[in-house]
Amino acid sequence: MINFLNILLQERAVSTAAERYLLVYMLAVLIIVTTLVIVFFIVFQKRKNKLLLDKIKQQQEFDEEISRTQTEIQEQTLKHIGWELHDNVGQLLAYASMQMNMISAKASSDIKESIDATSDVIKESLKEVRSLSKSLNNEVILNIGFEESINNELNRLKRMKFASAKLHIKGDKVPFNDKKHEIIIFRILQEFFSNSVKYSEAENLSVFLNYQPNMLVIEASDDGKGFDMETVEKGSGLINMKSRAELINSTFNMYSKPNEGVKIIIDYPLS
Amino acid sequence: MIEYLTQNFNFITYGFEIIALIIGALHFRKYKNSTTKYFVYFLLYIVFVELVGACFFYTDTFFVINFLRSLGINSTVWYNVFWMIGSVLFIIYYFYSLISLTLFKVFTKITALIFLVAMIVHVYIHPNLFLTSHPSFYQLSGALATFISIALYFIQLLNSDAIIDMFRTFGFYASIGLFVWWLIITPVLFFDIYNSTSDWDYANLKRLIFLFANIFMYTCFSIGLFISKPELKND
Repeated sequence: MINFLNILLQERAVSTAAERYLLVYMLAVLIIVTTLVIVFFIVFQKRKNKLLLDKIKQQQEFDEEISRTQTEIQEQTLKHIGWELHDNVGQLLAYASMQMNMISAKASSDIKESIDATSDVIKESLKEVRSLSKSLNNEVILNIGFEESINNELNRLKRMKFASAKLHIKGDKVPFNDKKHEIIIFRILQEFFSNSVKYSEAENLSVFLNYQPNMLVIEASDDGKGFDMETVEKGSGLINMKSRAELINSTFNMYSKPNEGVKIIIDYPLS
Repeated sequence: MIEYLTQNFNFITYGFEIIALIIGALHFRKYKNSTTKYFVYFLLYIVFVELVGACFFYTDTFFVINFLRSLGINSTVWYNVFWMIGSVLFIIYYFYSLISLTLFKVFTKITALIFLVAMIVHVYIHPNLFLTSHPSFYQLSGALATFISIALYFIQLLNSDAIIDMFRTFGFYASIGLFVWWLIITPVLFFDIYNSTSDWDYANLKRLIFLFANIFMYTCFSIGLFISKPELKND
């Protein structure tokens, strides 16, 4: 018996075809299952990423919509104020001016000089109110054009506070595809000017419009006291300027150092 | 074709190993500061082990081989020490450096330790098996240890942001290559009693399976080394 067993053991084992097929089949199953698991995970991950991206995109669209609405509301308000200034305060001042002229004609020579001076002040105020109302009303901006509006605004500011406020234009003027973008850029510049007026103590303002083949580079700078970019707290003005620039697919950059003024650069794609 | 493959399976495998190493060397600059550089060292190590192993088969006069033979080392012992045990430890070390979670790091460390102790104990108890064959115990423990490391790495990958850029992560290719290799090779060893001159059908099938597994693994490594972007942290 033992011997019989020994003989069996000593005989070399030979695999049958069935066993070999089983081995190959099993390996194939292993590989297929592994591949399936990996593919499943990849597809799952891809889908998940797509969903997440869609969600982010939706959020972005929502934010954009909100900021567009905000701009619209603001435009509406500004227009309203502009009308009020023009129709109400403007009319009152015009009436006052007329009255002053009548008084001036009747007045005796000793007070005539001061009446004339007052009349001049009233005329000046009327002019200011009109130009302010123009810069507030977006229809006017659209009507007289983007560059002319900037010029008006700069002149107004020059009369108000600054030693010089100039607009420089380089390159050939290219009309904007979307007229609304003119207003948005104009409002960004207005925001910058109003900050300059409020905080900078600047003497000079300048705006460069550089028309390049595919791009309009707008540079606005003052020579005021500036601020430290690192430490300054970002107010709503800066954030508004940035989000408005994003609304028209532009890049907005601000540079400033203490005592070196502030400069903003907007790159607006023309095509 | 199949006859050619079964006759030259060794050289084809060497070819793929050397291609992977060359690609690793050419792209070594971008992996200089990443964990992947250990993997390139691993490829170098494999080529070295295979080279010496090949010398056992194909030369009798090379003095290094004669010296090794005089120490009682033959190709079986060489592959047992440097492939069945050494490379597994190397792979665990690679995954150990890829894994960043402390708990998982401890797990891989323990796995490596248990594997090493099990190997030493097995060699001590069955020295004759160690000297004359490739015990399936080595293969099974190696497969288990590798699977544990790869599983830990995959769990970490699934939980991290790196998964978004999975196809640019070399660890992914390394794990897939190694995982499939160990998955295919391990069951084949159960059939090793048929691996004799009296059963050429099986011997040739085994060679083909090994060849396929090796080609798959080294191609995985080559592709991975070629297209990975190691800027991703911890890779």
